[in-house]
Amino acid sequence: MKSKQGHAPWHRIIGLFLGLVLVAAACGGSDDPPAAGGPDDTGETTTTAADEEPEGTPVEGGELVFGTESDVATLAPGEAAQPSDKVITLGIYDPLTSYVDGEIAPFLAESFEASEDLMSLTMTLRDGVTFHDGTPLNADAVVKHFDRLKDPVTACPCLDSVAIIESIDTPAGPEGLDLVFNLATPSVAFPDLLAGSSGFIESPTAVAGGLNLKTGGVGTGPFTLAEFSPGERVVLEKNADYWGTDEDGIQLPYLDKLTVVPIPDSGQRLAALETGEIDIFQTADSKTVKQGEDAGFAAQKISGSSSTIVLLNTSKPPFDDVRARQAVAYSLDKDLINELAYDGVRVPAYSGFALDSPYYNPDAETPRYDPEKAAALVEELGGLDFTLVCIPTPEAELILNIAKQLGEDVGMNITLETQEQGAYVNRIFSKGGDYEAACFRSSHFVEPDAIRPGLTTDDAGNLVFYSNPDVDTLLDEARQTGDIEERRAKYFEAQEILAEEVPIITTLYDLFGNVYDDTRVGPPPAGELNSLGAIKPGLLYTAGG
Amino acid sequence: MTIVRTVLDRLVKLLVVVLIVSFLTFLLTKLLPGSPINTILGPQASNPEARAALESQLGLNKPFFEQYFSYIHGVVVEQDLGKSYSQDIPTTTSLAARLPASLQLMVMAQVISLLISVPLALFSAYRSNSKTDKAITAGAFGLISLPGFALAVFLVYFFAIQLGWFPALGYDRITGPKGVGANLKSVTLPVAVLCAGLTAVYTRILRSDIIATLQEDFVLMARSKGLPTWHILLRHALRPSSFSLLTVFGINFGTLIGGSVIVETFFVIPGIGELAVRSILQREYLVVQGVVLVIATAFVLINFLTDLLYSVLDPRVRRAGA
Repeated sequence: MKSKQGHAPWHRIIGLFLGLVLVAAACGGSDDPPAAGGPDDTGETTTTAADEEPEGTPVEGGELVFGTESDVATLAPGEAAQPSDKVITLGIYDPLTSYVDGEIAPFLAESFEASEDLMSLTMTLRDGVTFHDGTPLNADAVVKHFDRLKDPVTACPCLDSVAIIESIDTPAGPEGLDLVFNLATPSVAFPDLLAGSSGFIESPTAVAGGLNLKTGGVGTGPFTLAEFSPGERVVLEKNADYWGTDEDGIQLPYLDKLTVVPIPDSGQRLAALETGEIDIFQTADSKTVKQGEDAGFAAQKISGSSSTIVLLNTSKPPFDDVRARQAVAYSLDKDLINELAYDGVRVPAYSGFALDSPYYNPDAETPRYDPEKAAALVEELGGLDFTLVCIPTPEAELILNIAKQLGEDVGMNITLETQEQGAYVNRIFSKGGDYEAACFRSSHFVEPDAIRPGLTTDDAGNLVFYSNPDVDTLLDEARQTGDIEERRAKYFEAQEILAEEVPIITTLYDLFGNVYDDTRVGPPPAGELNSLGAIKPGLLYTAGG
Repeated sequence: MTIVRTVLDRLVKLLVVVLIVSFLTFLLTKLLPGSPINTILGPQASNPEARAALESQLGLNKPFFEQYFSYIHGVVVEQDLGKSYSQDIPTTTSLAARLPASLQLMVMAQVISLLISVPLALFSAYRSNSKTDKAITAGAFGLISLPGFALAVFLVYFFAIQLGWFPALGYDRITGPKGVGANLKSVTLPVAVLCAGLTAVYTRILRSDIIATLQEDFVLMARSKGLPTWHILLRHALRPSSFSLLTVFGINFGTLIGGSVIVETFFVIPGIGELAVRSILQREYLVVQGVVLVIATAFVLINFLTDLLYSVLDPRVRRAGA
């Protein structure tokens, strides 16, 4: 599976390979489209820090202005992946499935069930749902949606992931509500795919009428798209006929209107919050979250959906030697990086899985900071010289310099190199692996199979050229069973090997936040999984008064 | 007529410059590291159908010069500047939507800067080395040293957050529901940021030129005739002193386009600069190409007009150009 993303190609790629991947210390911070568009169909796990249940009584009516970090890249189902795209598309569309308390559950679908052999998925759609243009939701709309995504002309970044759908049967006819997805390969993760933007169903009537789905949208969601002005604003208005209700049976959405304004500068987002021009904004910049709190605003923190990692090229010296990889792992003081670069608000990562993932093996964490062990290994190797490459952002350069200092403290000799993003991505993804160590960002997926391509021998997504037959077997077996306990045992075992061999070093979990004025906005809903901190706008409400 | 020949001559040169600029912007997509297809398509680059589609959209399957000529042909004949890859919006549509804001900022900044700097410079030059002159000169120096983005942060903090007089960001269109008042309010801070540097530069340039002019014999002559000071300054000194100002004024349209990029992005104003930044970040090279071509052409045109103004200001230029 994979996802699209607007800005950074590497992010698209991440989505693609789902594996442990991507960039750098680089993009999390600063103001650029941050962790723009990670995997959306992939399923990283998100946890709300402090795990607090939103309190407060939802208020019906009113309007809010939501500030995003970047302008809309695309609204198209299957493509929208950036947090700023997601917050809008989650208003216009409903995914077929969604996560409820971390578990995949039907959403626009009323129910679904996978076959025993995981080769097909039977689904029943909700009855009586209509698109914003009055077209009824039925099996035909879903079939047309996936036909469109699978059409190469659409050039959907989701193409490879939806290719798993071999055919779709409609037992009750095209007007009916029943669907059977026949899959090309067995997959436990297929319902997860449908929770991302590939599962957003658009009106077939609107598409037939020539609607540009990138800048427009007709879905079944809680809001209709009322205005789309690039660089200025996107206006969502309440869909009075929305099918969804909250737990108390109150019709959703709560808001009458939601205006989304792109504000690239983080200081300006905060200023606009202070002047009341916006009521809430999202950010991938830890510093902004802290500044927001310092300025007396409320902040919802969503961490763990991805992390900054270091790729070590195991195909050539010096990192073809496991001791060299271990030395680097021992040399990285993640707490220090956290303190110096992020005011200590992030959480160090010692696994390719998110902290709250059921597959996280707490007994198989990658090495913690231990300068003596690192120094001993470097001495044993007779020195360790390598080049660490990343893209040139202030954040990346700060972190790279800390890493360099830490490495040199234990006797390594690290050369830092930065390279423009496009060239960087080409380089990391080049067949030969033209690098020694590189920064990247990895997404942590709900569906654990996501780590497989990045670690499997000769897989195109294996950027570190890691090869261990035991890991190959474990990861392969784990995806062919639907039994959670059995899968967990496999992943636990694989993590033990990986913790020892460290082909990839995770550093810190990314932090996303929604900063808001709690006198104007009620507590926001929990961050959507897979969406880099994006939330369902249908569940936003004003603080009343 | 010599003047007609001068103009024609300049127009030909202008056309050549525009052609060179168009060629260089056209090179943009060719100079990308790696293949533009890979860069634009990302993970989809391995999909042959998507590659083929984009290749033909970009015209990459044709020989280089044929690509260039069909691009120029499209631009000139069909006013086709291409369209964004991720959103399918024609670049001309995006430009049209963003032109009003950019033009308003640019024109207001230039006009207001002149309105402030000319009287300041006149006064400063007339009273050169007085305390007021020193204060003005020092103030101008300070404003030149202050980067626009720093000033912007300060202005937003003071006038938007503390005083609440102006919005911290956003652009209300004149044609929008809130009318001209809201429009002017929304551009006040951005225009102020743009004006700060311009006013300072204009004041300093004009001041030193006027001081030089005031040493000239014809000024002494005018003084000795007993003409009032303001008359000498305005009628005798200002015009011959305004050449450097005019040059800088013209060039500043170019600088303003650059300055607007920062200001528009910071204040979330849907202008051409913001479009350029956005397109670069999203790797929309076709849009960047179109935007750069339009900006460069406008810049060349404005400087052409500035050149013409010289001859209006000074008859000698007219003759020399012949």
